[in-house]
Amino acid sequence: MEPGRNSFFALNLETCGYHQDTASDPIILSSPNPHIILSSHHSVLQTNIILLCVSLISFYKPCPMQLEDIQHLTDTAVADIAAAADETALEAARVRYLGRKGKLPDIMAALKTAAPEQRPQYGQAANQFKTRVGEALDARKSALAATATPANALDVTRPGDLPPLGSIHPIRQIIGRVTEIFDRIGFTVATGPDIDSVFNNFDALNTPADHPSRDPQDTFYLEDGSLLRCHTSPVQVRHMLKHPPPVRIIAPGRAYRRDTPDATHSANFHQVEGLYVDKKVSMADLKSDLTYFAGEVLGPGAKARFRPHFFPFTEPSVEVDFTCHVCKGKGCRVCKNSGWIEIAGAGMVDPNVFQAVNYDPDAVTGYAFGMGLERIAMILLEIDDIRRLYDNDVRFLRQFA
Amino acid sequence: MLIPLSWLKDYIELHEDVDALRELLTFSGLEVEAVETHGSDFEQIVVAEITAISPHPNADKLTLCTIEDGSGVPQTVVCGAPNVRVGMKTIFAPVGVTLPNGLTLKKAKIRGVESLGMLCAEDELGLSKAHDGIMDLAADLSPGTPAVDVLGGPEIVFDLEVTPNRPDCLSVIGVARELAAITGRELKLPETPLREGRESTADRAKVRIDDPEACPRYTARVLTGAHVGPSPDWMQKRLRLCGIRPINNLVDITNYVMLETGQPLHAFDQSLLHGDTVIVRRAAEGEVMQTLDDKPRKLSAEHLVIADAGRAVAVAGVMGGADSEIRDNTTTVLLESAAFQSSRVRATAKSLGMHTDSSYRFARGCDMNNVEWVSRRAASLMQQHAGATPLKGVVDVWPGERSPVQVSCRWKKITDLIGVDIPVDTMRGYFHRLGLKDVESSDEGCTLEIPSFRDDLRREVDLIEEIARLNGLDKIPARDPIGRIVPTANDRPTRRLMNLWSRVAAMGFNEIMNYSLTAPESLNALDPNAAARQEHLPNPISQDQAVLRTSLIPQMAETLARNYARQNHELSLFEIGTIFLKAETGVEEQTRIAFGQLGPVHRPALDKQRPVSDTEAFYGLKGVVETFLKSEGVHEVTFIPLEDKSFAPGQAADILLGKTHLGRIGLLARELREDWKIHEPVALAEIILDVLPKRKTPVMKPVPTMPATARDTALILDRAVTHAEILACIQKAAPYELEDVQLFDVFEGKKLGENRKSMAYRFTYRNPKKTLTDKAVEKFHGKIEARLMQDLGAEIVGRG
Repeated sequence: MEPGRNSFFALNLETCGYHQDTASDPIILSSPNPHIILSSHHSVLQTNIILLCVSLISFYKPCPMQLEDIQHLTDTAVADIAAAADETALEAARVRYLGRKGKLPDIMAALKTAAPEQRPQYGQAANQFKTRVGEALDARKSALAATATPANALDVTRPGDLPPLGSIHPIRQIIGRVTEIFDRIGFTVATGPDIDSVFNNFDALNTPADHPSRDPQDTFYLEDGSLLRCHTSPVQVRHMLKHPPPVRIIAPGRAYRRDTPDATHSANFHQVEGLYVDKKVSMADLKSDLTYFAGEVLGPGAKARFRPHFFPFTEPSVEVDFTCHVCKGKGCRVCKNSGWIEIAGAGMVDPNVFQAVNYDPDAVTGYAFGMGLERIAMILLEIDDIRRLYDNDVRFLRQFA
Repeated sequence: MLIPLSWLKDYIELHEDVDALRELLTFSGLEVEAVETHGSDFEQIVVAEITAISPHPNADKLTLCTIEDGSGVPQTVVCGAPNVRVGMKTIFAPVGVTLPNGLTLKKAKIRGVESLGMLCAEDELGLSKAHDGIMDLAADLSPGTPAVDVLGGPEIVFDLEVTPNRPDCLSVIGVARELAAITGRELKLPETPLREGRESTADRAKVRIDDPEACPRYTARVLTGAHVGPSPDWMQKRLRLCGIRPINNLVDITNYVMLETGQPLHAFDQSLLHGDTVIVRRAAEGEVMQTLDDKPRKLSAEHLVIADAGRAVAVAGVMGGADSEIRDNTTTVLLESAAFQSSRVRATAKSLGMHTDSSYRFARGCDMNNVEWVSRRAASLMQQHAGATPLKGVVDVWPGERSPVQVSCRWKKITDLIGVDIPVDTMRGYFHRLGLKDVESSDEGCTLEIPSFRDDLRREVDLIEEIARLNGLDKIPARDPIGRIVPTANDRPTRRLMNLWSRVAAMGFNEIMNYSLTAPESLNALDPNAAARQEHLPNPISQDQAVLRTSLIPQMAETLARNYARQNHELSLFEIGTIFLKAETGVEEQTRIAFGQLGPVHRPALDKQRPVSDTEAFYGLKGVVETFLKSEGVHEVTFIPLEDKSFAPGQAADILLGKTHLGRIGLLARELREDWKIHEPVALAEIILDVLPKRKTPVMKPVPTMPATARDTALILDRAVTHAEILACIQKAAPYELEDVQLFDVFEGKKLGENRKSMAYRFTYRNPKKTLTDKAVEKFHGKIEARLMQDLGAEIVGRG
């Protein structure tokens, strides 16, 4: 036995006076009478030592318990039971207090030897001891049961059986976002074929006969003279030929140019085209709608600004910049310190286009705009090379799930 | 289009800083793509004279130059330039200086000899990109003169993007004129003083235009007594800033005036021309001439040339000929300033592959009215800087002189289209600033005379753009958007697709996007049936993208393989895209969806190691396809075996809805996947979305309340009997009460015997109105079993 324990026994066996073990052993407290009160901590070993200790004490024929000793013992027992670490410790505690060799017989003995006039009080104290200890045992038992680890417990930290993580292609996500935003202000989605006529792609859009974009160096022609549309604008023409004004459409789709593929060019790419024709549509309508779009796609406060430009199918024509979404217009690497990023080409539909689709240019006006979706995806998602969008590496695609 | 700021300031007062000018130009429509700074203050850098030259002891290509830099102390510099000579005045940068190109000079030994600085070429001084030799300055400069006095201070050059509608801005004066219009300031044109000789130009030169459509105006001037030499430094410097290499005074002046005015010029050595008549004609078919760049050019009747009595001497508006160019001994110059039809020049430049500063400007259009003034300006400079005397007058042939264009506009139309209220007087002011003259003006509108340099202004809407621009696009307000419902477009198909994307992604598939164009070999290997329906592009960029895809499957397989090669071993991909099938007339487009699967992607975490079997791969993807089709409202599809080279034999099926072909599914042929080093099954499927029936809104059917009774039966039958045949057989004997039949086990093994298999089915019987008795179910089930035995030779081996 370790020295601390020896001294503890010595102390407890020698004296009935109140003291606390000074050998810095927190396990056992002695009481002012010869009964050793246990305020046990946790291990079974400790409990056994204590029991041994208790049995040793019984050789010393202690003097009977006083009333206050019973009350004190009750409090201590309740605290002791509440601290039982597991079922074994709890059972040991039950034996210690209610068992045949436990505290209860001492109390009953004290009741017997008590002066007759004190007996009712002793009786009451003994009942209280039984009730409170019993309750404490029940409470601790259910508390321990509640925290127990059942045999069929699951390791909840193990990985789940993940269903594979699906994803929508970044371009498709941008198409979805753009159409959803314009949908909200009354645009319907229109589509057209990838293969279209020279009339729809160029002539009706006021493209001069010797415009460079018509060159087979720049545009893919098919053997029958049709072509792979070089922008989504032919959808405008198709739609207006079919429907009298007003029209309000958004047309996402694939377009083709004979560009040698590099980090920013691809033989096919995606655009979204917007067209609104009605009586008295103005540049202010164009700016208002694109500003709304800018705010929706880039966050509140984003603005659109116009720079004069030239396109054959619109007059006046503008290029549209949006507030840089990264620096909010302060200037950063993404916007090359300008605070703005170029997003769209736009303008008021050229009267020659209206004539080509049999609209009266004096009766209606309209705006049109077009945006490159790869470009928007690259800016918003910080994609460094357009070819990644067509390379389809799942490690890339899953990032945008 | 490079415009040096200092040059611009010759014609207009500009006190704005560079950033403000950049904004001003950009927001008027001349987008500043870049601002370049050339040169610097050249601190400590001075003019030096080379006083002696000796060879470098350790290097053949280096020399040791002794220089005098004004300090009186001779210094030695190691120099590698080929053009060093004794007495040469050049630029010296001593040790310690940081050059404009960023290089800091340190005291250093070059091949063992110490150099105290550097003699500089233009690129090192940030003047241009030239590095052919060190700078060779005027001989009269004294050593020690600060370099900034000779080279000038830093130069700002704007790189402008000039849109095709504004050829008038392809010159320094043009940009100055535009800035004058924007700011309301005055444009100052250069003086063109001429002291003409007594002899008349008309006596020395005649002009004949054979094709007045292609050449509406041609002027010629003759200058005599020219001395060919270097042009003044300031002119050379400006040319360099604009990216043009100086040659000699006469040639430099034609280039300088072209940059200044936008009108290309050409100078001939008149002594080298045969006869005195300049002829503007079409080239003869097969006519050959040597152009200035010393290349022989074979011409055709499509090309317009300038010719003398015997031969073509210039490709009109594109490039002069080598044998009539200005030479060192040239004294008599014939100066051409002409207008050529833009489309003719564009076509000529393209067919000959000659894109020059001249053809670029003519192709966009030049100001016909300005041709004579520009000639005068060049002649004036030749008189000042080459000592030439212009003969009296100019030969000016202008057969089709045209009256000025007039355009009308309505004030209200302008403000309505722009969406901003602009006072009428303000609008009038803008027009006047642009050089448009009132022919008529009222409260309603006005008619304006358009100056010849603004040929792009033809219609009311063109004038509206001018007002919008000058008034400022930033004045256009952005309000809250006003929605307007115009339900003209039928977007149901698109919406159905949008829905579909999310649904398939939710099934754990990653959407891919492939190019519409692909390699014919790839299509032929993986879509063998469509070989006849491929549309080949007549002008592909490369063989990799030479044909329009006829199916999504080939690229799907390639994408799986590419990912697999990158160690992405669990793949579930889909693509929705357009495919193209050549038809009798034109090309038919179809929207399809393709699925591709590889690896144990849908397995639980602890079951990934086991190899994927053909059965698992095929039925796994088949299930996906079936669920996908069900979610599209398509339930009654049939799968029939398909033999297709791209799929493994006996492991592919056509998917049919009634008689409509919906698509195909299968495991990729083993040879094909082994080529890609894929040693496990690759499942592929494709569905034609266009042929899926329109979705019907479902109508509720009663949910059964009566209990169902189940019976299991295991059959042993021939391996060749299919599930579909078994179902068909069951169908024949099925009572109304048979609700469902589910296959729940398949077993093949030796103990069943050769070519035998066991299949177990669960039959569910229910009468929606009453509880079925065991006896009734027994009767139904017995009938079905009997039928299976009788029709399919099935052996009933277990029931329950």
